Amino acid sequence: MATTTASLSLTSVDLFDDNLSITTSNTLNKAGLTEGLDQTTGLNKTYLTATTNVDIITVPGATKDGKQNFVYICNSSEIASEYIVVSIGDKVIGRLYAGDFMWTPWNQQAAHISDLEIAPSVATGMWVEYMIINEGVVLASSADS
Amino acid sequence: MATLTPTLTLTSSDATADDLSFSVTDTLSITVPHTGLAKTSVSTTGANNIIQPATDGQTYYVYVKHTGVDASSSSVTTTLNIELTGDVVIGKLAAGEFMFMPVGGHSLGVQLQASSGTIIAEYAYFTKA
Repeated sequence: MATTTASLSLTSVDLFDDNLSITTSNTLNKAGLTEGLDQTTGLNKTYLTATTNVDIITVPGATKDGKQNFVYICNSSEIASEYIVVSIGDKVIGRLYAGDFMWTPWNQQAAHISDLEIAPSVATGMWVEYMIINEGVVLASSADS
Repeated sequence: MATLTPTLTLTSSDATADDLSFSVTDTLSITVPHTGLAKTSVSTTGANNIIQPATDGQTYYVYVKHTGVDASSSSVTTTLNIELTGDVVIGKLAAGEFMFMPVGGHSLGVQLQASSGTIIAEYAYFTKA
């Protein structure tokens, strides 16, 4: 059983008259259990040179609906105006601008409707990091022709 | 305009053969509207628990945490749905779990929905300048 810990802090000295300092941490467990998430894509780094949507993970057929998954995505661009659009299937979630990251649970509800997709705002090349920590995904079957 | 600094850290000594240990920090320029850290009792009807208004193309940074208790302060193991308005499920938080992500580029808000009973959720949102 793996033990993976996620921690987040949100701080600001000028949002309010009083300083903002939120800190939270938890271990990542399988749905409904105290057993740790034991599968991961590892930390991936990819260079995208087209503005088309691409799957960073596909839900090809039988799903793992009800299982827990956490997703990390970071736009590593250093050009402030560049962003990636993050979608689940055809539902746009939001934009990650240069340097921005997200950490969210993800539900494998249905084939392709739940695919995790990203699309860069420019075709001039953009680095993106991502990682999924989960309790299982269905891998796409091989297609040799 | 103000600055918000989020930092995410992921660590594990046994998830893979190599230790997992990394941290990422960002500097976000924030404008109004934004919230402080809020708490709300979430019911099983997502449309009654909209925590971030429709984006109208704007980008919001949203933080949500499942506190692990219900409206009567009793411990719960039920899950908290994170949804776009219109009941589009993004993911589900168990007790103690949290999320932080940008939402926007469309006209939808963010709502929360308890899988049963009530769940006390902490949340905040910040508008990208």
